[in-house]
Amino acid sequence: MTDDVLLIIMSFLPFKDAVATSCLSKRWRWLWLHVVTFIFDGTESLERIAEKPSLLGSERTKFVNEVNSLIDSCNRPVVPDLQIRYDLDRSFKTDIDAWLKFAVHMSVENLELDLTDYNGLAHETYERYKFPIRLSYRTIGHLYKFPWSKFTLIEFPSLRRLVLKGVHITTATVESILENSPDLETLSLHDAGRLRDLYVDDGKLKLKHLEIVDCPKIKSIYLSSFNLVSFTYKGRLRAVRLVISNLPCLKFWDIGEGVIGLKNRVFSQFDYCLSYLDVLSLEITRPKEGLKLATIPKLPMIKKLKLAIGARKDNCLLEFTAIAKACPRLEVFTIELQWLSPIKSRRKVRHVADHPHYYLKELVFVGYFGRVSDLELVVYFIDNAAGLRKIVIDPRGSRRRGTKAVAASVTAVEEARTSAKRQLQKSLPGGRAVDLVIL
Amino acid sequence: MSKKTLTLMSKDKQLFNIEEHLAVQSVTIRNMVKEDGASSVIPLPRVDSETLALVIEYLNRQQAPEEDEDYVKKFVDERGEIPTLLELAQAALDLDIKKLMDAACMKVADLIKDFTLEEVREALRIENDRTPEEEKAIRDEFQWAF
Repeated sequence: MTDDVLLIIMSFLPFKDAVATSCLSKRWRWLWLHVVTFIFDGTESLERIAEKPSLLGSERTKFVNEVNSLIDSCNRPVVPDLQIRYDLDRSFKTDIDAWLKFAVHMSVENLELDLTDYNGLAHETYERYKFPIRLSYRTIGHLYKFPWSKFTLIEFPSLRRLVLKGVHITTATVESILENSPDLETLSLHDAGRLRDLYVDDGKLKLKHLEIVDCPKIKSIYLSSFNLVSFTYKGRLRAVRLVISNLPCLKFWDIGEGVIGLKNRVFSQFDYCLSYLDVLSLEITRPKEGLKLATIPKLPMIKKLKLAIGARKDNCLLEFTAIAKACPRLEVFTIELQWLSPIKSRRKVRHVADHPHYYLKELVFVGYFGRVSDLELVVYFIDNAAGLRKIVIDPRGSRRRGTKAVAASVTAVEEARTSAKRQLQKSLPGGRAVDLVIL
Repeated sequence: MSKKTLTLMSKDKQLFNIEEHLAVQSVTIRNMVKEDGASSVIPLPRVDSETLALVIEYLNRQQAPEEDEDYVKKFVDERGEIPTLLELAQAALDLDIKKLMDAACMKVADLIKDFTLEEVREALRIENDRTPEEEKAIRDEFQWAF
């Protein structure tokens, strides 16, 4: 038997068992290092903690020791991938700093650091880990001569993808990364409480995907003249000055905000770049105030549209068809209801004026509760989209960003499923093959 | 069109016939056929006849693509002896038949994952060439893994 077979077998073993094989014989001492990946996903442990929070202290120590011992014993010249997901705050600064140094020295290309707590929320701002302001593959000791100096330098040339969740990072640090990591394609920052401005205007950048989520201090984002393909911004829109110009490759747009009304800024500000977007996703808690549905501009190229909205009681959804109507080439429409207080009332299904959706193939409805309002929206699309092939109904409640997961009760979901089946099978048109999927 | 047949020869010189369009599921054989037409016998000096018979049985299966995953799983499950699976995995690796190799290796991993170290050594025919002190030192280093 050759080592190759042993390595493949080992790659199917649970991580700990693979490490334990180092005891088998001298030949096996380091074999496992070939199959081990530096992906430390503590989700299982965090789920245990969520059930019993008193475990947090001991489980944290265990996790940190595990990462430390693997990193210490790594004898490879290059590690392409380092991902860490665990509930860690700034008290682990020494360890996390060392992991990042390791990442720089091992020429990591994909770095993911998700330090949100076991509920998936960022730590309090004063407890949150701060991304170091100096990090380099070479010795930059001279910079430390003045410990009070604010001099920022990140030299991480191998980086292609950087995802930080629940980590503070300053504007200067982000700028330094952009300047010194020329191959960076994806930058995703969540809960970066200290990020104030982001100014990207450099045609040489390879940055394709940019995600800024829940960075409350951010004041302005200026993106211009590079080949950005997808842009996600979630968080306060009213307070941020968003300037987007000359991004010819921009196709995917995901924009949304939590509780504060949107005041139609989305559309008024970006008229010119809306005309060539392929995919648009909007998340608006109070859509009726936030979106002026009557004045939505034409979105001529949109093929996929997702609308995530807050929903109360039995409020009508038919007016949101206005936004689908603004997209003449729409192929997939997703509506996601974020429940506050659903109420089922008894009334008849309403119909609104017909409008043909020639290209619509798929309707996805997340958060279907079985209200008349839910049903009438589906009926509208069945009536108006002759090419509709598939309806996906997902009655499981959706979770609002930045809130604790509130799973819909099992009985409520089961009830919603039953009503979806009863209501929709009746409404499906005869003679047309529409695939109804109820999750 | 008449179906072309290939002849494979095992380590112990036994010959096996298989239709070419089935045999080329093996990337190794596909490359050989491409290179020289492989009209003569293809020797497989590392595969014994019992294992080759299994490989041929696998290649000859007549499964709809959507049932294939289940079939491969069942195929290795029914031959759940570790020595057989190891031979099969090695043969599948040499012949580059990815699905069979993955399934066999996954099955072995599944069987040995709850074994003690001593049992793993026995199953994989590994000789322990370490002193108990050396072994303890490694255990201490990766305490969390044991």
